[in-house]
Amino acid sequence: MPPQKRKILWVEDSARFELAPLVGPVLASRQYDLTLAENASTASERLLRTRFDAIIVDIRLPPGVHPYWVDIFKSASSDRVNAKLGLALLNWLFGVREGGAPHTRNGKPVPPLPDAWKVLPQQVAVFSVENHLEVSSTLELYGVTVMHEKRPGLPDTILLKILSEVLAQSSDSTPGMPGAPGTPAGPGAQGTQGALGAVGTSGASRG
Amino acid sequence: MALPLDSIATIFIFLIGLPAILLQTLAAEVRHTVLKDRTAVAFFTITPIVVASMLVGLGLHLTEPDGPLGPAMTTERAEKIWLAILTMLLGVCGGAALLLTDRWRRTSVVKRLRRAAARGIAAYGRPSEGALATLVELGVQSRGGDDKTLIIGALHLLMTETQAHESYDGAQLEELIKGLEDVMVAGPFRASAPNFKAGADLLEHLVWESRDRDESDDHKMALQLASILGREALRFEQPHDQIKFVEILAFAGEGKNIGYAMWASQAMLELGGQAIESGRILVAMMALSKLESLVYAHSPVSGELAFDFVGLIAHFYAQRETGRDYGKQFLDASLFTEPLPEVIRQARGACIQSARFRTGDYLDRMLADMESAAQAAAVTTDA
Repeated sequence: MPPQKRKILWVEDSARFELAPLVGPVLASRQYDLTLAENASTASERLLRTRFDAIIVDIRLPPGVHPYWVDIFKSASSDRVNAKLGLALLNWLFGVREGGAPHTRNGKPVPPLPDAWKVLPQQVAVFSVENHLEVSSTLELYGVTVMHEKRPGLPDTILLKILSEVLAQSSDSTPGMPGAPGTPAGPGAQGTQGALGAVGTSGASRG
Repeated sequence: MALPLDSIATIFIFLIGLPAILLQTLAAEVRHTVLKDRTAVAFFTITPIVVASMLVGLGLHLTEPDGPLGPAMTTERAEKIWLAILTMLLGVCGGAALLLTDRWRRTSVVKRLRRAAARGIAAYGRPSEGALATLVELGVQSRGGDDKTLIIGALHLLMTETQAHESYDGAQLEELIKGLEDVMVAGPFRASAPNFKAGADLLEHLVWESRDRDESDDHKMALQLASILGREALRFEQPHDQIKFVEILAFAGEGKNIGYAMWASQAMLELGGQAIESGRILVAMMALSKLESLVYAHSPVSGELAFDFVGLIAHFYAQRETGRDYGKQFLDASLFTEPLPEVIRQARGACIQSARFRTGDYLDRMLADMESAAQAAAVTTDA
């Protein structure tokens, strides 16, 4: 059997001018099946339909078309910096709702992820222009420990670096979960769902 | 006061000429669409004239010596009545101008056509063909940019409503998908980059719903259109939107039905091959990566999935040294049920049948190099 490629979701809207240098190394490594989502709506729809091994999130995102994300965006005066939809996405992934009810705004819900492929905080990294201090309290609340700031001079392989950090710490998942060391891949681990592999050791870090 | 004939005549001439003047200010394609509904044009042209005529008749009736105000009618009263009538006539002129300007705006025309098409969804589960055809024709003749985006947005709403209908079974969107293709690539005006993004969004939402169906003609057509539009989008500099089409194909190919994987692989070969020929290397790399993932999911593979995979690798192989080295690393014999040279040989045969001669040539070259290398290795071993 060929090795399963790790399925990666990169939620980023403003990499148009640097897509080749950033994405090229990821593709050339042949270890990852990379998917891009340029807004919160597309990201949530992708996450509802595909199991990813790692997710890299930008904080300043446009909402897309789903009324739930549009409503959050409009409530922040339709300003990407204020809306911080990346954090809203993390809230959707990890925020606790009473009785497990879906997140809803103005009567428009976004259903929670299926139990079969819930995303763990260890599988998520933030790659954004925000200073770590600005968002650290929120990230700590959700248990997301990997964050890298976008700044001039970052190497083109920064995405690979982020991915290796995230996958290293996420491979230390709770025994019995799909993909944990010594356990077989969970249901649907092939095809649309990526399999968590047992790679390296855990290492919570920030950029 | 005598009948203010000059003023009334001026107002009537304005009302008669207003529709013609407004029609001339419209874009040609909007005017053509508006004039298709001659009944509506006649109604909105004649109605203000009829209302104005009724107001003039009212004025005449009130001011005539034998009218209801006959005994009490004075010159002063007659003047006031005609002043009021003329004011109302000016109101009719203004109202007609506003009404027709709003009704014949492009956005209003598109909205009416969309609603007319949507009535078919409620009745039959698919958009009304007549209204849809008119909407598409308007889109074909519209300029790239906001004008086409308006049409694509209307098609998107129709698609969403159709898929939400209880009778949707994955085969009601054929005309809509064909219409989207016509809007994007047919006609005298090229679609802009935002138009391709809007088209990609539509196709993405379509396959989100259709992928998990056991069979869906809409899904197949969406895949084929994603390949066509992806290749058209290669003329733009930014790869972001081009990559979106690759991702649509990859996602669509991951469905339950193995047939979806085959359709997706064919589309990715076409898009990836064209990308590399156009110098859009990142898009080609993405297509190859996604195709590799598809092969991994079904390995060991044979048949069309295998042929498309080696076909795309052959496109990289045909480039100079760097592209060749990059493509060669994907040639993993363990992915195929048959020996690699046999797979390439069969793929070349398939290229002849599917009129992909360029891919066939590249496969030929790759096979020849492999066989030469194998012979050279055999000679070295013997020595």
